[in-house]
Amino acid sequence: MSRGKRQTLALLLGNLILCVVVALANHTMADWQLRLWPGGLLVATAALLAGPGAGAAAVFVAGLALDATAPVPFGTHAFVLLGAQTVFYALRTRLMRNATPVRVAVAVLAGVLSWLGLAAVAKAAGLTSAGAGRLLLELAATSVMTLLIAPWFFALQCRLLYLAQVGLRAEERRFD
Amino acid sequence: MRFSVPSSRAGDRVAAVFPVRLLNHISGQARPFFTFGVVALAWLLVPAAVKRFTRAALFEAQAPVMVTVERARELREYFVLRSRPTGELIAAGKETANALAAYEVGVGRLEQLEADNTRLRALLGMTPGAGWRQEHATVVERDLSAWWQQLVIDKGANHGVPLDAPVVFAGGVVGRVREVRAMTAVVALVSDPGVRFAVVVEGDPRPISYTGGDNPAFGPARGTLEFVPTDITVTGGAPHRLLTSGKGGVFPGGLPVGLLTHVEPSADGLFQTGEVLLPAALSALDEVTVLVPDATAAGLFVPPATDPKP
Repeated sequence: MSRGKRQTLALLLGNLILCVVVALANHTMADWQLRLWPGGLLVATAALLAGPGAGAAAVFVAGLALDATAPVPFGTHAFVLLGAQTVFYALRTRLMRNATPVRVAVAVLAGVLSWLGLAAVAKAAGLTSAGAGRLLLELAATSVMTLLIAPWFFALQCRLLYLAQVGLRAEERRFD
Repeated sequence: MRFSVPSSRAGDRVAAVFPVRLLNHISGQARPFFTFGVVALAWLLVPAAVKRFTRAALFEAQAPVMVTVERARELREYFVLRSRPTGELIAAGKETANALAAYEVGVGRLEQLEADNTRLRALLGMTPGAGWRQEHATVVERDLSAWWQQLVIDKGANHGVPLDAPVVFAGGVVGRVREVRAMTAVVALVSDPGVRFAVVVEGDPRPISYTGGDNPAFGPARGTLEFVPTDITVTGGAPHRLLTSGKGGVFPGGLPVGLLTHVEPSADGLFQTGEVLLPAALSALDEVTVLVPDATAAGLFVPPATDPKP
């Protein structure tokens, strides 16, 4: 298997693990009518450090997996995430993307951006939403969650890439 | 980075349908956005059948993970219970035995009523009402977002769960089956803004339109009523109980939905709009019952009439 495919699969596996963890948290928090959005974390590493095709493919397939269980047009999450990934991929040469704080900040910003994108698509699709209070509260809760678990998630992704024998160092050099 | 075009005939064909050469003329900064646009355009051209198949395949691939996670959660609860003191477990067992005895008396009474009902229907020459088979299911995932409210349960087409089947719990209506897969099904909760059906105020036969509504954080789910007759009023301490009307063909009549807590005149002045408080337990359900239409099953299942608590 080629290096790009292994990188895609390693990133995708990390993203799917994150989706399961966040779904567990959402299951527990349902009693509070709160839902966390993992978008920023799904995007950050793929946009900042992965190869162009591998990162986009991992993000897109993870988005399709989210779409499969949601009552939205198939592809909604996938394109919202791919859009955020595209924005930060275009910006990555201007960022100190090897620094963990920068990656965490990008994850938070990508989370906000993709969340707003999802809200815009939902509004355009005519889905009735809860009040602005709940939307802002969920956005804040999502940002806090991203700040708290981003270092763990980045470490998990690095470990998976290491196990797949595709470190990100080559990509970092190529795009610096 | 430059994109190269293979010199083979296959490569020429690829270059003809995909603007690879064009990519080389786009500056590095704009290239990701151009690629995004090309992917979005390609996605629009993908046949709907392919999208449906992919969606179903991805859902089915996730279903075993959801069920396994739920089983792990049950195992955790089992060990939590095992760590309880023996005295506490004995007390809980006695409490359960008392509840079971009370339910046995209730079941006997229901059987007698059912026999009376069948006899009276036969005397009046009425056709027997549609029966329902109860399919108990465990909730494997709760997904209560700001835009949709749904549950995934561990019963699906393999267990005979049909699309649009009503789902209930001890407190009343849970929702209806929105999507059926092989081993799982997605239930749209009664609090989902996309769910709409007819309800009646207890003791009043006129149907009223119910829609899932605004679901604020840290509070019970809510629904809204439209076309409430103007003679229905709500006084502070006595909210009306809402029941399913039985009209519309999805929910059997008489199932508790929630409490009508507030009404106000609608814009046209002919009717009122109302606010419905749904049971707080709705967002923390672990077990539900799917009512599967079954001509051979006798009687109509109606859950105990417990008032929803805010």
